[in-house]
Amino acid sequence: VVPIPRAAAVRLYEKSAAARWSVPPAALDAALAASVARAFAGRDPSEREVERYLASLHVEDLALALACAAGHDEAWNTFVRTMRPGLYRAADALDASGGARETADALYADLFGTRERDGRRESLLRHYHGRSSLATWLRAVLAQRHVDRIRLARRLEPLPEDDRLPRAPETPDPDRERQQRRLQSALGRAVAALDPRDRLRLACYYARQLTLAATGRILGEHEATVSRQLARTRRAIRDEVERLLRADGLGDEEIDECFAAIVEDPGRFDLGRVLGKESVPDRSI
Amino acid sequence: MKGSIPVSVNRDEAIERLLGRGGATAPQPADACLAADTIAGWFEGTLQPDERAAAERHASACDRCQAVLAAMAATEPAVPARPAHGLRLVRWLVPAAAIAAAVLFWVNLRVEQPRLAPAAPPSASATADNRSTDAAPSLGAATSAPREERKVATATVPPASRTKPVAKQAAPQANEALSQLSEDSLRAAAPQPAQSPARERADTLAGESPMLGPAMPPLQVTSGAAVIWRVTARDTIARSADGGASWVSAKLDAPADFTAGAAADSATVWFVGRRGVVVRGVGDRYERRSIAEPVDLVAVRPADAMTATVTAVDGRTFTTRDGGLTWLPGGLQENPAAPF
Repeated sequence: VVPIPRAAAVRLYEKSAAARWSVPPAALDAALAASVARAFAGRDPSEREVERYLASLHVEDLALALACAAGHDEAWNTFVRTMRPGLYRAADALDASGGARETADALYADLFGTRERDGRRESLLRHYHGRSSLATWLRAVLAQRHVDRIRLARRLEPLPEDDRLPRAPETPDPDRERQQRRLQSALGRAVAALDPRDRLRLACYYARQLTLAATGRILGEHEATVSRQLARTRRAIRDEVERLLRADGLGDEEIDECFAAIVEDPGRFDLGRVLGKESVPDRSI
Repeated sequence: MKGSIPVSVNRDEAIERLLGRGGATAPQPADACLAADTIAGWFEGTLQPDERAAAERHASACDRCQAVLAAMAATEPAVPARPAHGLRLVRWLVPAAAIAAAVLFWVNLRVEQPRLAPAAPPSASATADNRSTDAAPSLGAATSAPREERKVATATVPPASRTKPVAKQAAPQANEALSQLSEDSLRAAAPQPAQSPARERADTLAGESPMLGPAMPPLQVTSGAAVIWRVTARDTIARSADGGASWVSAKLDAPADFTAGAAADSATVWFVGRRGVVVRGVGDRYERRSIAEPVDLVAVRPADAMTATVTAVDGRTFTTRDGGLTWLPGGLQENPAAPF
């Protein structure tokens, strides 16, 4: 546990207005220490790093979250009044038909803490560490719940009838099939060798079909930069694919044939599969 | 076997095509998914550099976290696009642009009108250059025409009264992305169906009549012999990479009355329309890149994937050098020193 400098603790308690919600200084200290420990997990930060980190925290939101988790009525009312509009706006942006609003409403039960453990209410707000605004954290929780709900629903959907199942395409030309496989394999290796940031950009734009603007929001880049970086990555992939095919002993004409085979029929290549493996249910917050 | 290989293979297009087939099929790295406070910190820029790098590494291989990030991006309050340059530059640019526009107006009256005056070609199709971005030279086409002989698309489109309004679609990006989660998993898990090109083409063509009416041919743009784009409805553009044997249709975010289009290369196309509409397509993806003024646009001349000049009905021209994100008055030749 990284100790919180006394002066900083006093200053942050005042700044957080925690007294307004009857949050004792010790409770805020503990929350600050937990936040520092989480941010510097596995590291031994200097005092200066800790000071800088503490100064960046949203301590007012942290105090409000602590009060709500502790069952302070006025804090809870304030939380609901100030956070609900933004949460509903986010829900509507996710699903205009109202499905995400249900998720948002259901979230309140977990935020309030309807379950108890060791005689204490288990509020979701205990997972808030003040590293972002409470509003952004709530959006992130909502986004996770919404995604999980959709993933679960998709898993439970029945498979299509037999006659609607996609059938294997007829591939009478074994040469072409082999060329497709060669190029797909080379492409897979080229993508796998990319920098994670380049792979994330590819995944957002191609696998998730996001726009340049949305991809840029995720990567923290202007959409023109995203466009340039995608072009650069495509060039790098192409160069690497050609290099790999040459390394496999193919000449220019054969490489052309591989590309032509892909232009005619891209086959079963799936960028998402190249980027990783099958998912398992998970557990974050 | 070799007899069926096209003479020229655009390797860039092949790569784009393969990447574009990426479905979100639930990859999952070994480490735990990003926690909500990490995702929130990601979007507020408060993560430590090493944390951010680790988060990006995880997200690059995690379907669930990509979906969550997409949902976060979709729920971010809209931020107005920043001007490409500072206000001081804009202040300086406005009078200069006004003078340039006045000059160009007269120039275009004399230059553009004779070019647009001839009757539209029978198919109202537009032919773009056969310029290959590929390093591999084309055996047949390379000797056929010099680069300067680019033919630029000009085409007409039916008057607005003939068009049928289409309900505006405002589906959030996140849902589009999320809706693919399992569909693509299923699709990828099973072999792709062998769709009949004739059937797909018939479907595409059947969709043309409500928009275009019986007398008007569809707005069409070609690049080389194989790649064709066709506006099949006010909110739909279809693309064929095999000379029209098969088509891939894409819905636009909102309908528009298109008037002209031109291909920059075999992967990039520009369409313009009424009320300042500009749509740029890369592969089978189309994004709106409209100019700020709601003036009717009648022609587009792309120089490359990022650079294009559009011409308004009043003769003014606007040029972009960043893929349509920002437009400045003037053409490429007329205003070569424009500070982009």
